[in-house]
Amino acid sequence: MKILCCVKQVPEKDARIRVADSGDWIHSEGLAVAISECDRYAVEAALRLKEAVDGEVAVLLVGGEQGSKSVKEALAMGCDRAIHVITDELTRSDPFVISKVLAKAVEDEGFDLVLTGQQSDDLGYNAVGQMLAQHLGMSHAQIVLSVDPVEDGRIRVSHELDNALIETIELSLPAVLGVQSGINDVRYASLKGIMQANSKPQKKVTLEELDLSAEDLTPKLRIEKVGFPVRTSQAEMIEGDAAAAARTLVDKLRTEAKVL
Amino acid sequence: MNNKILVVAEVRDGALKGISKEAMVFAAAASNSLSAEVVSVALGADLSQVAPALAACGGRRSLQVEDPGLDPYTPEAYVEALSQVISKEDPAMVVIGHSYQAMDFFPRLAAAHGGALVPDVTAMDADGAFTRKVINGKLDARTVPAEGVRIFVSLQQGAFPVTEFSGEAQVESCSVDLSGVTPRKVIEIAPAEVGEVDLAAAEKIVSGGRGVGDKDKFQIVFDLAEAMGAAVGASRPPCDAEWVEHQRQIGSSGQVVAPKLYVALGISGAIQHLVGMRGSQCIVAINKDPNAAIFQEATYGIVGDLHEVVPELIAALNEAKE
Repeated sequence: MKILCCVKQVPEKDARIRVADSGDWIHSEGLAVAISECDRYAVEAALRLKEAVDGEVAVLLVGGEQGSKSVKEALAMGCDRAIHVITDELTRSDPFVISKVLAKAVEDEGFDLVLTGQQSDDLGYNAVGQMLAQHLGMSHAQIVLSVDPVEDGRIRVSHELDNALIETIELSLPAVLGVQSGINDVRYASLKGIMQANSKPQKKVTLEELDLSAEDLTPKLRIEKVGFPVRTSQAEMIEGDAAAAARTLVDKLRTEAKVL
Repeated sequence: MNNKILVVAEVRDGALKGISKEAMVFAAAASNSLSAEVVSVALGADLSQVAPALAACGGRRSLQVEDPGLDPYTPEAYVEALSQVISKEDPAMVVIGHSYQAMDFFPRLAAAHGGALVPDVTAMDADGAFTRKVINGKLDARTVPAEGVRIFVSLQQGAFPVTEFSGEAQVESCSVDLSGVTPRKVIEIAPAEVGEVDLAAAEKIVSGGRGVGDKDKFQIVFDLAEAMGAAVGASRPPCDAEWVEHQRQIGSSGQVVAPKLYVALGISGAIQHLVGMRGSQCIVAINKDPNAAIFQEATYGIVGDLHEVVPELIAALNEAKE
């Protein structure tokens, strides 16, 4: 089975976020970055499938040169080769453009299965995989919990479909799956894996080389401004050291909110 | 394109979903600022119960698309059926609630029409710009669709609470041709495993998130719960990491709770968690990140290291008992 895993590099969950001077995105200098959480589970799911049915796993990342750190991490975990679409322009692009870029980057490769995380930690559109499937005429499922190969080029997939409902379906390959977090135990890269990562094939292509049409590269959305939300609730912040704050809180829960 | 808002209503077990009523609330407000006409559409094999319920949510017309190929749900049939409705109605905006089922097919529908997908929206300004969360819910992003492009909006659950509806839509039946559709094989739709931990009944809940640290440190959540006489819950990350049982998960893929007191320890406030607990009467948040989204929902907040604050809290509770 020929598997592609799409990963995105995003700010680390604990990274200190500051709004850039331009006001329309975050300050990226010195920002700690990581592979987006759901994407890590997608990589693990891809590696497990490969181990079960034989085949190869390629990892694909769209992003600037700094993305190679995440590409290498995926290779060290066990992916066989990498495709890195190098561009600084698309860090906060809309899912339509990104899905067009992915479609173009993989159209001649003939992957049986494309795995992505169900949504990225930064933009969180929850849409790129579904749109990719639409462009390539592939079947698709979102919020995937498990995937098992069955006969005749088909896979059995279970995924979340509304509150506490799990749907089990069979899809014909090729297919795109959006993977939910927490579905497996993500492996750490072994020392051997890290050593081997550098010698694995890494194809770098620029956005220009992909030769997308102007229409495909025209965003359907623009982020005009980002900001920390204006506090709308009446949240009362309790100040003081740990002991004083704890005492004040217990007092308020007892006398003001009357919930203790 | 017509100056029309098409609301896609979803059906579960023969009934109209609550999130679809919220979409009708949004559409009514948007139709005022855009002077647009609201048309709703429901899809299914038998809409006899849904049709009157949806018509009662207002709008000018309510389209009923009944076809055996629309039950059970498949994205193939939904995308095809809605594409035919969109071609007929030519609406400037298509609206749906941001349900899991919507996440499954709505982006495909938007891509099929080359539209602007604006998912998980929390507000719309009078000038047509949308607000949605980015960077794990930490920031609000003012997001503007391109000119002249059909807009596909999905609405965050709970962002547009249901109010009284005025007026009743005229019900029309609408036929579609699904002969070209090859749907996937649906094997089973089953409720997720419901464990023995029933948090819905608890009056007080102490919940831990990723910020608690690790499995051993999670004990502090149990300790505070014991001192408060509360049940123990969690956001998704501790369940994923198996610090606690999955049955304790609160949020969109776990349990939805509304206790008198909800204490969130080291929970950043991802929307998937918030939708599961924001109905709580009194919410306490303890987090070291002053910008954590959970503080937006909290009644009382403490910015600090929970591992310093909680032991003091337990001491203060025990002191008060004596």
